[in-house]
Amino acid sequence: MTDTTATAAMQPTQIERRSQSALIWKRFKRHKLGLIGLWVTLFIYLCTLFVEILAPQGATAYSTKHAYYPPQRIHFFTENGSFKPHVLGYKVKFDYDTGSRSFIPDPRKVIALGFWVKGDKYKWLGLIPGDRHLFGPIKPREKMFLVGADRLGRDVLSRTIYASRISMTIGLAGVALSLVLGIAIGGLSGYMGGFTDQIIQRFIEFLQSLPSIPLWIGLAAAIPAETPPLETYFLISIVLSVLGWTGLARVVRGRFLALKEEDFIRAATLDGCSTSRILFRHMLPNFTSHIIAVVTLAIPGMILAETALSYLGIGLRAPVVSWGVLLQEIQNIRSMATAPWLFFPGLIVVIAVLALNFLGDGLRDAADPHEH
Amino acid sequence: MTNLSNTTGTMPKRPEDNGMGVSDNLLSMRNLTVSFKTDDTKLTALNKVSLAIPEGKTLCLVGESGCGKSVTAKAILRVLAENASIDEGEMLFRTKSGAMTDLASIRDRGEAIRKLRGDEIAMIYQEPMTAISPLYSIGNQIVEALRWHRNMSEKEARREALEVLRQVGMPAPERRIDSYSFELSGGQRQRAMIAMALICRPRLLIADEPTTALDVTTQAVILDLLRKMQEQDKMSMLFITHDLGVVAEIADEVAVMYMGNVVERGPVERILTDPVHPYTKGLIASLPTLSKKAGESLKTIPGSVPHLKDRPKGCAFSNRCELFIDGTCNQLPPLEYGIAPDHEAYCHALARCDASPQTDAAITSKLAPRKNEQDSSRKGGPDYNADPILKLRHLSKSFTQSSGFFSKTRHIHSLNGVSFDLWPGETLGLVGESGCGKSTLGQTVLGLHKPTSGAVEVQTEDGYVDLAQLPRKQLKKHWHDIRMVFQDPDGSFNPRLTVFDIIAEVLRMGGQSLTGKDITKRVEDVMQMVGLDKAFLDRYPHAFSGGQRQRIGIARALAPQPRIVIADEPVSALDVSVQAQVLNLLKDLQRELGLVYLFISHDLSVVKHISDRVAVMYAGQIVEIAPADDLFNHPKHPYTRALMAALPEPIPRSMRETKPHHISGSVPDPANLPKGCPFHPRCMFATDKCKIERPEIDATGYQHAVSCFFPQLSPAAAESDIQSHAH
Repeated sequence: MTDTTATAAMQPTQIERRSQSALIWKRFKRHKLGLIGLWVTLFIYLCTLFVEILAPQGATAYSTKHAYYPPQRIHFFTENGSFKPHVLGYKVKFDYDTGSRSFIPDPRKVIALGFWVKGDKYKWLGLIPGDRHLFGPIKPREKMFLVGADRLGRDVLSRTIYASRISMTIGLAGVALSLVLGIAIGGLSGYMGGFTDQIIQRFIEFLQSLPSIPLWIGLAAAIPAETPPLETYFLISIVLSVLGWTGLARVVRGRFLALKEEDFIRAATLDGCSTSRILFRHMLPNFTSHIIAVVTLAIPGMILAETALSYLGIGLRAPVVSWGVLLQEIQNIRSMATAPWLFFPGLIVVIAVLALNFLGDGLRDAADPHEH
Repeated sequence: MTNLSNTTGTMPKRPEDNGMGVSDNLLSMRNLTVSFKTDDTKLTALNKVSLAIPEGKTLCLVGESGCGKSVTAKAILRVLAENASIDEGEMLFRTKSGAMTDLASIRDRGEAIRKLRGDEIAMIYQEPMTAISPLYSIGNQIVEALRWHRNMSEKEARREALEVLRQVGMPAPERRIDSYSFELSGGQRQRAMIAMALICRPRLLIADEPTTALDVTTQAVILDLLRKMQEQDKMSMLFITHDLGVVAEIADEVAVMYMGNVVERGPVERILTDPVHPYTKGLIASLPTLSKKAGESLKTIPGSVPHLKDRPKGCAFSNRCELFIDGTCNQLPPLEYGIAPDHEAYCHALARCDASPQTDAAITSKLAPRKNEQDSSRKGGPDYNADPILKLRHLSKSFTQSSGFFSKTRHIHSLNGVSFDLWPGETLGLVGESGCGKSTLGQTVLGLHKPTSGAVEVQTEDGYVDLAQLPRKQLKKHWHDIRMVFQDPDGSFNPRLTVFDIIAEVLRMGGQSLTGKDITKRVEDVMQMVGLDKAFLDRYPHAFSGGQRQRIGIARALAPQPRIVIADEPVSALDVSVQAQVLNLLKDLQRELGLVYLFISHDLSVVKHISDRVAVMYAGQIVEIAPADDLFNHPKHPYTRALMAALPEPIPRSMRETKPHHISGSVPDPANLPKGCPFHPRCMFATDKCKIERPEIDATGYQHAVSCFFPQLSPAAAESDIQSHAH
């Protein structure tokens, strides 16, 4: 025995102590786009927590005289050269020949800006009342439109910020529901195999062969128009996950099938582990990282679906503010031509979806054990 | 590395040395250094490698995994990975026109190298399944090189392709030329790849482990073929392998590599019979072979090959070397030490003992084979007077395979009536080629597969219990008594659990209701038994080397104090030097704990080394079973004999008495077994009786038994008989 003891003896320090998740994090950090995606996603979700404070105006604050107000530029210095951040109000000129209005910055209408200013009253997260905003005009009566206003003179920036709360979380709710369905059904399919597996897989194929938009429209039409906004929100997330779970179920099943053949599962069986212990101690931890990756990739799909449904008018409806609802403002050519800034929520959708996709890609690559 | 340049004058095969610029080397590699850029560091994969491939000869590169063999091959063809770069050195290749081209300095995507690839330098790979495109017929892929390099018409090219297929011994080449890779057997696929490489009559053939994925009988045929083709075409060959037996079969010259350095090179006879470098000596000593006495403890090289990022300073082998000289070996690159004009090694210790004969004596005594004291002290051993501890009776297992709703189901007969006994204290080796059902047997014994019929009777306190009849719940308590060691040290551990949790799992699940303290104590005990520090217990399996992981696997098996251990290819994924450590450990543990092993392996020499008795399996049956010495000295079944003849032994060809003969064909499809004796389509002695009737075998008991109607044929008679059949 002394011989073998000596041969295998190595300094314990030579064997690294890092766990699997530490290795995944190390691999993830190499994925530059993934890291960017992670920071952007975190930033957006952080924003959804503080929308009332971040938005310069309230979500429903309107002012008809500012209808279709174009975006204002921030000036840092006054004409005499002193530092004073401000925006300039517009002088409206009406061209009677063409029937169009033109907006010309008026150097006399200086609207001074500042941090932590008083503004519209709100209840933070519906609980804590306040009237301070991170950034805005110093005088509460004045208004600032950094990305312009819509036809009722509502601030597009503020509404986009408010909308992020609904739009970013409806994806989460939908995915959470899909995840439960996907893990349960996919796990069952993979673990049972045989006939059960065949039935479930054929059912999934059937669901996936249904055209999604008409199906969503059909389901959304079943929601009564007078349903309160919050309930609509949950019903819509259910509608989205009716199709969303199938992809997840397939991933889970695939991982199950692959893991079932691994020697360490066989070893666990021979160690005397019960089925549930094999499932929850030996199998599930081995694909949590995959599931996190797949979920991350599923959220943007949900966000896009919500946006599409709401844009078509069959998803969320005003007075709820979501990115899709905001985009309804540009359903006609005229508003597109006169107020292209109404596309701003669309730009934010693109950024959010890309960030989530990069993050998901990074996670997926990092979680893949074959990518060393 | 100044010493190297100092000694270049004595380098025997440097083309420039020859004033005429003519030498007998096709390729001379000098000081080739290749490194890989990774995120944090630059790893040196090849460290000043100097090699020469003589015209018309075979140079074998030997070494354990990660020593830079494949990198050398890829560097010659300039197909290194994206992050690799050639930092230094030259590779002078003499082209057909006689001009010397330095392959190291031309562009890796340039016209010059593309003209050589596939034309003058060709390569064959380890895995023909992935090296041949499944989208094109093999004929299509063979003519590709001709059409590209020779600008030949399609018709001419096809005629050439047929000719080369005939030469590589492809059966029915006219038909096979239009088939696809997945329609061929492993051996045929390898033949197709060789044909592809040879079509342009290359002057240098690089073969990267071309037989490693093949069964031993197929390997023998392919090695024969490569040698024949080489002699016929006067081709040079760079042959890469980790298997010293294959080296003996094919090599003229050998270069032994270790961590990107050539440590010794010379003619095959000298390297295999009279190696000088401590690493080469260690490799050869740690190899179990048919000619070595069974039961002897193998000599081992301590430790395992370090990762390239941990390359020791000075001589790369210094931290595992028994001739280690502190202050020299771990400081300076090793000196060249010439033994003969064509045989040299790189070692401080050897160079030094040349200078002072006193140290020579000290070193020679260190190098002398260690006498094994434990050998005679072997207590226990098999006890054939006792009752068998495990009895298998007519065990059969067939799987039904269906790929969908509408496809026909196939019945795969993996086990067809296997019977044998296991006695206390013995090791039964179970040997056979891939697909013979040996792994299924191991798993069926444990009840991981429910047997179709037959019994697995294990001796317990209340008499024999038939595991085949027990439901899962009651099987579980027997799983503490019969444990399993798995083949793949990568896949057999849950990557999310620490070593402690991996070993402790069985104790936590056990019926013995152990306290946490008991479990900790037992886990630490088994860690010590397998020679691992208990400080490793909180690490995760990925941090360990292959050999260490296999020790963890053994510790896990031993944790519940089993009587029987089923080891399914426990060393086949390990490097030779590490394999010897694990084999020794298994033997030591058996002696200490009185374990019974069912040792499953495809490697005859490993089985011979570890087993008291050996069973040979073919097509789900035991065809021969006998005490190990008896079986290897007097094999009776034609298949056993063929297996033994096909096994390459590390004895150079020129020093062998008889030329072995090889069987053709491949293992039958277990869904479609031949009628009668399953071996008859490949058997030289098959008669009509063999084609109708299945020979019976009584494999119970411990005497020699064989499943063959004509087992008495002596090896000599068999020889002549095969001769007459071959013509």
